[in-house]
Amino acid sequence: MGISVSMKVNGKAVTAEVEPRTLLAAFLRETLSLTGTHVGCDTAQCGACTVLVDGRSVKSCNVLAVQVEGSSVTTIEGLAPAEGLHPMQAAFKRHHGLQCGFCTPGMVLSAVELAARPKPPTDGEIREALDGNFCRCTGYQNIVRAVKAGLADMGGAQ
Amino acid sequence: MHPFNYHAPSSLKDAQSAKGGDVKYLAGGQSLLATMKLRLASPSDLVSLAGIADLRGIRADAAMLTIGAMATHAEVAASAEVAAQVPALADLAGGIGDRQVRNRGTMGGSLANNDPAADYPAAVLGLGATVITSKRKIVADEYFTGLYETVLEPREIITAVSFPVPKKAAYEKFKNPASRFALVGVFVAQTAAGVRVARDRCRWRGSIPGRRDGSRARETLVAGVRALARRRHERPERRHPRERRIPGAFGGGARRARRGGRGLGGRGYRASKPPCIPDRSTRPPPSSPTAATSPSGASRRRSSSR
Repeated sequence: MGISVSMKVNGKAVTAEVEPRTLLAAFLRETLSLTGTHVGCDTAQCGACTVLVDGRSVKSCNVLAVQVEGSSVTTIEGLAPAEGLHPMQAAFKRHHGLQCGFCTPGMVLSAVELAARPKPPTDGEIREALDGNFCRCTGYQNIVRAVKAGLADMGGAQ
Repeated sequence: MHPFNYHAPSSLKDAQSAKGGDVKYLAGGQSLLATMKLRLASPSDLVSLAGIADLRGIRADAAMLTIGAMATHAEVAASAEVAAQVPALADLAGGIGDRQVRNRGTMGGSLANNDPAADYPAAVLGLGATVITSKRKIVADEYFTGLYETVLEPREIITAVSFPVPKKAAYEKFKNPASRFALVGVFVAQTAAGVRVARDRCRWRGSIPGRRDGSRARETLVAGVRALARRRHERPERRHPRERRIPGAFGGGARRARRGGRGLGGRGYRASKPPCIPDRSTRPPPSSPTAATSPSGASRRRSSSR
């Protein structure tokens, strides 16, 4: 019943035997024990399970592990350097962009994808871009502030 | 979801001849996987189309824009060719779902699924596009047959869609405030042959006025606006008389709002619910049998005591 799947997760090559119906979120959390990827709604609405697949944000609860065969996956665990925080994580901390923190891994990864845009997004564009990530605590004000600052810091770091 | 066999062919031929009884083709999976998780679909075999290079790519010339079935919404939204030839289509693609969904969801998947709340069907109809499959070419007016239904046969795979380049085109939709799906979406295009109008569905209870060909677009728009108005709990007296009689798909809340008086639903909702433990002091006098059973009577009384 099992089927072999190979991918890069946070820079490390991974090969495992999975059932075809295994979702990427379950694969990351249960097979690889990378529990930083959170499963909120499990219906592809809330975005807590957002990870980057080949640099693009996807909801890992709505993707099969076998669909990302050969791809490169980045989870929240793979974002930060060995010591300290990724600039986006640091910005979320500095601007109080989280309260309970459940949505934060998805928020941060979703925000990191925005760095690939040719010019920095406006507040309105950030809000629009975070359409697929729900936060039930903050009311989004500080998240938008954090994302703006994080993107500026990422630009500076590069 | 139920277990299934998974196939990842690299050619269209292999995809068509994949083994299995109940075969479903998997494009981006943004609708199909959710459907399977709810066990509304349980195919025995899932055939991924992601590895088939022929289904990708966007090609344009002066008169025609051809988009591969596996082009994601994000790719269509960001494509320079699409932006130059049919900017309305790029705009439409950039407004589907959310960013994560646009990174996975595909045009072919959307058209094969034909969700009435999807955006692409209106563009295909509005622009008079041609759906190209592994077996034939289907003109837009003949492709869609009903909610979630198309003329596609089992094992027929959409390979691309060709859009004639219009003189002008635009797409507009009302989003459901919670789900962000289109309550109603309308695509209008000025083509060489004249003006075409097409709509996606509105969540109108009962029969859906208007047809996919846009021949009753005006009625459809009006219905969509009314559906929106109902969601926003407009004052009942401003509604169409027929709507007052129909509880509506979202009618529970609207009905309670009306019982609680005009304005927002919250108060009416609370007031219309009988208290768990009846309090003697708030009970209706025994001489008023209608008030004893009528939630509206209860709400009036409680409102006035506050």
